[in-house]
Amino acid sequence: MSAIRASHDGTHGAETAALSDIQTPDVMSAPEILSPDAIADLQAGGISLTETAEIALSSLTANKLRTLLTALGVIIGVAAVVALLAIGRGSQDSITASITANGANLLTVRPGASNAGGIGGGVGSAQTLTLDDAKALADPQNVPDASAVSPEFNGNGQLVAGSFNTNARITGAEAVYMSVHNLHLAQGDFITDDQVNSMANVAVLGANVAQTLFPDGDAVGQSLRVNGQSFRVAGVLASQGGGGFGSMDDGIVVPITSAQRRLFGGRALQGGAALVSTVVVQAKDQNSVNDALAEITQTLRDRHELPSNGAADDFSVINQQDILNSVVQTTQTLTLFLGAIAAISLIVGGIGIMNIMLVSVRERTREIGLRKAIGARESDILTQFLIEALIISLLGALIGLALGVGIALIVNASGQMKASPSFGAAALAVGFAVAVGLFFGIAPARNAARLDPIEALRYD
Amino acid sequence: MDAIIQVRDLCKTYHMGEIEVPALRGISFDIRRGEFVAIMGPSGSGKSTLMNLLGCLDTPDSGQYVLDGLPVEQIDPNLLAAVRNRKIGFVFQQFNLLPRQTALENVALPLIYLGGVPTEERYARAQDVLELVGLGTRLDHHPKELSGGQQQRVAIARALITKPSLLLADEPTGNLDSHSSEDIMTLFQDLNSQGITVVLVTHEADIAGHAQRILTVRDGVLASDAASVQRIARLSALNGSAPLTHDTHAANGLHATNGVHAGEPVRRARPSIIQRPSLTHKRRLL
Repeated sequence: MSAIRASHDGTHGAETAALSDIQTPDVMSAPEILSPDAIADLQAGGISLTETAEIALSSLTANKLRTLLTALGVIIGVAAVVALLAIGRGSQDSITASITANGANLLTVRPGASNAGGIGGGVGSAQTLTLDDAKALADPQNVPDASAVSPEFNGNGQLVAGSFNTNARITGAEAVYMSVHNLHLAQGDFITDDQVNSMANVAVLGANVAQTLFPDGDAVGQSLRVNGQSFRVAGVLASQGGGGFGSMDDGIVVPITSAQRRLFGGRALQGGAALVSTVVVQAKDQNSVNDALAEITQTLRDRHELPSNGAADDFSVINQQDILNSVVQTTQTLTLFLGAIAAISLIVGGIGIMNIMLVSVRERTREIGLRKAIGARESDILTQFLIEALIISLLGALIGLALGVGIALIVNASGQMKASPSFGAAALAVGFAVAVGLFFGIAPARNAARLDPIEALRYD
Repeated sequence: MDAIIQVRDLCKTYHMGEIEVPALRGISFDIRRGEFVAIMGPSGSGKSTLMNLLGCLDTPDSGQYVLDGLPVEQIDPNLLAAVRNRKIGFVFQQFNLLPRQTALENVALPLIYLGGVPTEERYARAQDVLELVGLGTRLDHHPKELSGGQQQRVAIARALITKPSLLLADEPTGNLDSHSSEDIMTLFQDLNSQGITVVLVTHEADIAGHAQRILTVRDGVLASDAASVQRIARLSALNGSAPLTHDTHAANGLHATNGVHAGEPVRRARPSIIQRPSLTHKRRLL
């Protein structure tokens, strides 16, 4: 309908023919639009989660060293958590084992008021437990639920044998000590009741003491000097191993009478009465522990003539289970503390993930722009980067787990400490690592998803 | 529906802090299915903004943009990704190929985002399109192993793979030597002759000359809308007829209302190679 009108666009040099009049909107027809269904159809389709994961995986494998370095923080964090929790659990196990090795049905009677937690008189400050008290407790009339009663006197002393010497814990005990504490002999005999009655100068050495004083091995029958007095070695105890709580490896056992009168006479005798440090009472079985406790308390209160109301006990009876509980609680606290420190390194690892991913998003700006231009939705890009964070943290967690278990096994093999990796701790560490990775992946992923494709495609 | 692009009074203003920069100030035109249109204009004219709007990478402040029957300005920005995926094939100056992927993988990429296409079919289709652009023997090459012209062919193949309604090329020859540029423009013409609508943004007159029609944007408005002289010369040579008159209104499928230019209605001659092609695959997407 329009005539030819040659024209030349001087500014741009574009040769054009037939420059037509520019249409104004009011003369143009309204645009034809499809039914609204066409818009709804756009919702359908799109990339699947598997394919997004494949894209994430391929971008991680494209730069393996960087991926590994990114995961390193998580690797170290998880390894630390797993190894420290394993060591914590291991030491708790070994302490528990050494306590229960003595039997869980033991009651330890100590002189001095029991005033748990408070200052009170202080346990052991009043020397009110004597050998006669122990004899009274051993009387089935008084404590029918006791199967054995072991009075003990503890001290420290200098041991000398030939050119060797050492310092050791010295326990004065009776023959029953061995069965009550579940000890075993490596050589010779334990002290006998006769030797106790006759105040004999005989000693049974702990494994380490025997090794130190008689490195040649043949200790039984040899003599040694204990605090200057001559003693004969009657036997050597089997090693209990470990650095366990209450281990006898670094001590010696002598007849309690010899300890009281020959070695520690100054503090062991009070007005003719022979004092004891502790009396260990073995209840008949686990169920009679509480009955035995009541009987012991009653017997001692009677003997010490404490009025039935008002006056506090001038002794304390400690249940083995109580000791166990408090030790377990202590080691658990320690383990948690160690785990918390290790968890901090996991969070640092998460920040590492965020850091590298932020750089990576910047580096891949053009790629992200292109993906958006050819049809990636914001959510597709977000998912892609979150999956990358997830893979990195999961990979790090699994490598860290293997490393942590490896450390625990090495610690075990060293024999210095016990480490027992647990499934719970491993699951906790891995779960925490993945959560940390995802959390710190959110910010970079959002950055990537929100990139303006126009800007991103222009980015150099 | 004959018009693949219907733009009505499109406006876009950028806000740079306190300053408002109007980039498009009411622009209107139609582009018919099967047309080869160049958009020209000096820098700052608004042609890049227009291209971003046509490419659904940006949304207008006001006005209407209907792409293949879809009212783009009414579509949720999140769904525009699907529009880009299905309706538009982008060709960039910088090629924007993913360097770690082969030509085949690069070309197949949009099909992943289309969804529902099994891997084997993706690669089979990518191979078909690469063969179409003359790179059937370079399927496993990485971009760095290809020349600039070949890389742009890969990019064009990628743009074609979802069988879009529109091929949108932004300075596609800006990074190519003159020989490769000529090759790429010939490829666009071949594709156009097979019925693919091509919209080309360029500032080079001789590149724009490959198009049938040139839209010139200046100061955010359409400054001219005309048939390309080069193109007309080429077409008339093919037809062996006299130079043609190109009636934009008629080309747009609209009836001009202004009666200033009286005269005989001019039949718009079309050489057989740009006859309406079969567009069944595009229909499928609708």
